[in-house]
Amino acid sequence: MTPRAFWQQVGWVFAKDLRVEFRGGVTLRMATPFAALALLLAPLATGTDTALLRRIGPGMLWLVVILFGMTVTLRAGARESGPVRDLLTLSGLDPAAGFLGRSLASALLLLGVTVVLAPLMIVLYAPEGNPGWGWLALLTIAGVMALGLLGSLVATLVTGLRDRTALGPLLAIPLAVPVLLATARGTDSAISQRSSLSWLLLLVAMNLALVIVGVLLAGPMDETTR
Amino acid sequence: MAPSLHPRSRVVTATGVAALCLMAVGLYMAVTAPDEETQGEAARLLFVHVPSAITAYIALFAGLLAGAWYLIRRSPAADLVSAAAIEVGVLFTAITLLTGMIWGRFVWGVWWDWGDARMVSTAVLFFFYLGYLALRRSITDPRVRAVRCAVLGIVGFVQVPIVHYSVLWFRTLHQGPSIIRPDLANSTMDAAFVAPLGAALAAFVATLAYLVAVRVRIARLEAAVARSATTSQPVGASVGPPRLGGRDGG
Repeated sequence: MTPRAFWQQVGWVFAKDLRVEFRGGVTLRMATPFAALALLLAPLATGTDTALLRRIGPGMLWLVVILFGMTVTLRAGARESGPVRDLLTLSGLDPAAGFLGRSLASALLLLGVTVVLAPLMIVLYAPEGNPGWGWLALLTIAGVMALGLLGSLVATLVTGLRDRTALGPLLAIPLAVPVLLATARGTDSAISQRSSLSWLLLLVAMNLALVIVGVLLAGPMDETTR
Repeated sequence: MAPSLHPRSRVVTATGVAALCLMAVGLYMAVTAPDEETQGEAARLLFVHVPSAITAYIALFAGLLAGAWYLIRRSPAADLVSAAAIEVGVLFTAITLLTGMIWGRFVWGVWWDWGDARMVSTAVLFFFYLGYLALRRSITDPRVRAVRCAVLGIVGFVQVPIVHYSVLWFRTLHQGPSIIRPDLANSTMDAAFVAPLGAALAAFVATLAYLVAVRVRIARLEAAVARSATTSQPVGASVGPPRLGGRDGG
């Protein structure tokens, strides 16, 4: 397969997943409001001390994005079980292209969730500082991309299983801990006008590792979903 | 005459006996080791904590290698070894966590410290591999289970270097690596503690080998039972209908 045909397939899967999401609207109508509710309720559990909330705000945002975002990415993966997967295989879809397309679509959805939740976090938690917007943008993109890749990988592993709704987060969230650390600490640094380069590099390394593993192992994993 | 053991069973039994002997030697050396300068008696826990951590790393790495071997050669034996090694690795990770917490209570005054990057990352590692075991139990098709678990074993192992080097990458209460050091320099540990630690490590590694071998044997028997359930063939030696007395029924 030529690189052009490969990327064309990536684009098709990406567009298909987004179209399904826009028609169903689960991320927008359910996952995002649920995540917003978690941001609203967290201060009731930790205490409404303003100084504390200012400090934990960015971390809470990323925790909520990871916990609720994972349900979005795992759900996207679960859609492609059984007949849908058979149809994609029959149409000659390269498993690696399918993996990348699904990951990119999940990452875009997570970016949407983060963009909606970030202003809410700023209103509710009022973090102090003069943010470095460039760092924040790079950290957000690298963070959601890593979550998208991780979610797609784990979604394939739990495809077709009866316990997948419990098992998916159990497998994905421990693996997402470096993303949580890098995005939360990196956001803290960016808000304090410090360099977030080391955290960004951690995310880039994680993205690269996930792309390599996902692309190399997409074939064997795809066999098990038929 | 007593039935003779299969050669493979003899090796497993010999490994078990060796592990037991090494454990006795390690225990003796740990108990008779001199007191540590600042930690006192609590330092003796390190003769369990450190070897169990290293043994867990070895087990999880063996699980990764066997999983990769399965993906390359599709050998069912490799899948059984991978599963057994990871299962035993989870056990050693649990021992590491528990002994670390007990040691922390004596030396730091708390069971759990969020400032200790290694403690937190080890707990995350433990929960991830619990997920691995849950995934294994959730899949009934042996081929699907083997592929998916091999992939997960490979992806998940990335956490092991994170656990080990977390003490260098993050500000933490835990001391830096004193044996497996990134600069490949010699151990910073006093010589009086190196010998008991080495003996304990040998005992733990032998125990790991024994437990993995036994677990693989159990997994083979489980697979035979599962096969017999689908093919209605009896397991092991042929079993005849119940008869009274001897072969002639009399």
